[in-house]
Amino acid sequence: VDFSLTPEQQDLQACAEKLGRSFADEARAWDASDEAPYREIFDRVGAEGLFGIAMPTEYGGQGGGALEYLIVVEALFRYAQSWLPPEPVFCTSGPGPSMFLLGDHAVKDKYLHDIVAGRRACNIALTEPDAGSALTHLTTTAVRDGDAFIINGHKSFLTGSNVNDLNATFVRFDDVPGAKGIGAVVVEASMPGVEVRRGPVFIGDRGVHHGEMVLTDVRVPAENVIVGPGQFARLMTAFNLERLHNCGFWLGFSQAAYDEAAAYTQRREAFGKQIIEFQAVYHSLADMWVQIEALRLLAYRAAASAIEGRFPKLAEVTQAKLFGATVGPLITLKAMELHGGYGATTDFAIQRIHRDCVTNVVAGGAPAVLRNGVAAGLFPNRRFPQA
Amino acid sequence: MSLTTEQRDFQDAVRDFCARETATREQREAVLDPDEEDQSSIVYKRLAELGWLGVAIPEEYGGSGGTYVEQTILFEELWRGMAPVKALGPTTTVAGCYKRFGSEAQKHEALTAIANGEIMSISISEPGAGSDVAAIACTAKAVTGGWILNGQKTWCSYAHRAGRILLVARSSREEKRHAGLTIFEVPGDAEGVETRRISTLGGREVNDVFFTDCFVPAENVVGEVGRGFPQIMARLDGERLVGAAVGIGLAQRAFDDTIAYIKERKQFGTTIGTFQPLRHRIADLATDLECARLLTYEVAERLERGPDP
Repeated sequence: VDFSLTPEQQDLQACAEKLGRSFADEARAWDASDEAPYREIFDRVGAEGLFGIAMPTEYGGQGGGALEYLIVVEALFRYAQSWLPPEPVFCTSGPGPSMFLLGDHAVKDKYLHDIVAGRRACNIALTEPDAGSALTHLTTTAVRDGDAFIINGHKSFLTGSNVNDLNATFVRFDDVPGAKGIGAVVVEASMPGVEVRRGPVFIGDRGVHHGEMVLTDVRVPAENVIVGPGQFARLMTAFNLERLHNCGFWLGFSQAAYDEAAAYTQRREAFGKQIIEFQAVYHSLADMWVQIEALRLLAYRAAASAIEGRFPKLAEVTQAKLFGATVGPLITLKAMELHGGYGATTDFAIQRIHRDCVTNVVAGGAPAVLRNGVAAGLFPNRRFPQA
Repeated sequence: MSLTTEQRDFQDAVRDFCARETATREQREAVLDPDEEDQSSIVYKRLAELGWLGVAIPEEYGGSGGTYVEQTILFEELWRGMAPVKALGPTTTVAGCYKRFGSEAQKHEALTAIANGEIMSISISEPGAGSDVAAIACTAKAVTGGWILNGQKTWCSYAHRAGRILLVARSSREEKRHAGLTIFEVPGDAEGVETRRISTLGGREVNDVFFTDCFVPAENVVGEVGRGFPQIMARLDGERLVGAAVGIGLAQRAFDDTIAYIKERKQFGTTIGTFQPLRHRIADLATDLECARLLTYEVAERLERGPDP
């Protein structure tokens, strides 16, 4: 087992770290105003050549794989201390474009070049008000009508709803029940019958909206079908990249919290000495770091064992994401406690880091659903009831 | 722990009050004071009229003469009910200080004012003296007829609204660093007092407070000169009891809301409260909550029996 990065990967990491640091002073304002300069963030990430990091060169990507993806987003999360700078990487190389990669030629030709180049970006429109973890119960429908599909439904939690104009929309084709009927279609925000709503205000992951989309008799040309019915498992392999992105989030944000706590406890004095000199404090930092290292091994194993170097395997990436979502908020809460009363003030970054972590626990799959998946993988001959 | 019939009636009364007056966000926002996230003069005045602000203040000083148990019930239920009366927390700590160390005149004056609705604040922490109370550097210099106060305090809850601030300052440097601290009563509007609110995740209840050549007369010393440290440490027992009651009230509210949500939210064709991991988590939370409540009320009863619970 070789745990070292290649010289090229190290260069990539250094580049992403430097870029991440360049955003660090701005993250606070994006959070406070809930309005981030999304286009500018995109351009700055693109200028460093980080668009399409894990996409094939024939679509304008960098030809890297899941490892390169994880290296880049981890560094951006950690050093920007914000969820936003990795978004351009997510949009140009994450689950959205990876779904297109699995799709038909028509939809690839129509959209993928623009997406990988960062000219257009795509929301994932998956969750519905009554179908979150129970994804296979989704009720948005696509009904064939000549050379088009008529889409009706209601989607929620569309990250980027006020800034991205494409929506990879998960739908049920022709009323086929269960997982078999589910596929994905590109819906453009400008199509007649599409209504995009502001959605709820979040306590974390702020700066762009996580809005809603109501679809009323939206006519979408058949060429916009990314993946049709009967290929749910295949569609989900692209979604595993979302979980790898989540792993990068947990790894980056856990380390950002550690960085803040390590700096603060070496600066703050009480009882005549730096508080890091108290055993309870340095033991806390030691425990945080061991958890971070364990998460790093799980996350990088998931990336390193990806199929074709690109699509992480379900079991590995699910375990890594579950571990991150379990220890991450505990690490950030502990780091906040180590800041004393200052940790809860808006002057310090740690409270924002913690809020973003709490907000991210269910993103990319709620822990309960991930546990279902892990158990199903451990006992393949059993069928565990979901309810 | 078992509450008496009267205590249960009191618990019901506070619960009913919150259900009636502060149950919804709309109700709470309608009564909030301008520029406050958690304080309503309207609700605070109602509590004064009901005799609840002075629930544990002796009747001779204008209170209702209840015990620490009634005080704990009040805080648990008000915080569970999300009543916007957060200033009652620091004010109750101040009441505890007066009850224990105040002169007869101070008790009559301050405790009566508290029972009638005056907000008070206590000023202990400094930027360089948090957990380490003995590191306090804020100075009190003896002058003719009183003291001159100088220095900066932080984390002072509701100092920006306080009629009086109890300030712990260093009146002398002694060989032992815990010695030489004194508690002073400072009118909130005294010359040389400036408060600056701190923005936190929980709103803007805490303040930095700056004292610049602030004069207070000699009779404003609360307790004994130079005995501020043991006095404050003893009084923090009372503050911690309030903190515990607030904690179980908030936890109970989070628990109530979670139960309501998991009974309502459906996934996979059934309410999510029927899934075993959620049921087990609820069972664990209920157990934790009950343990915390038992310990808190036990300590309240013990404090009633003596100062060292």
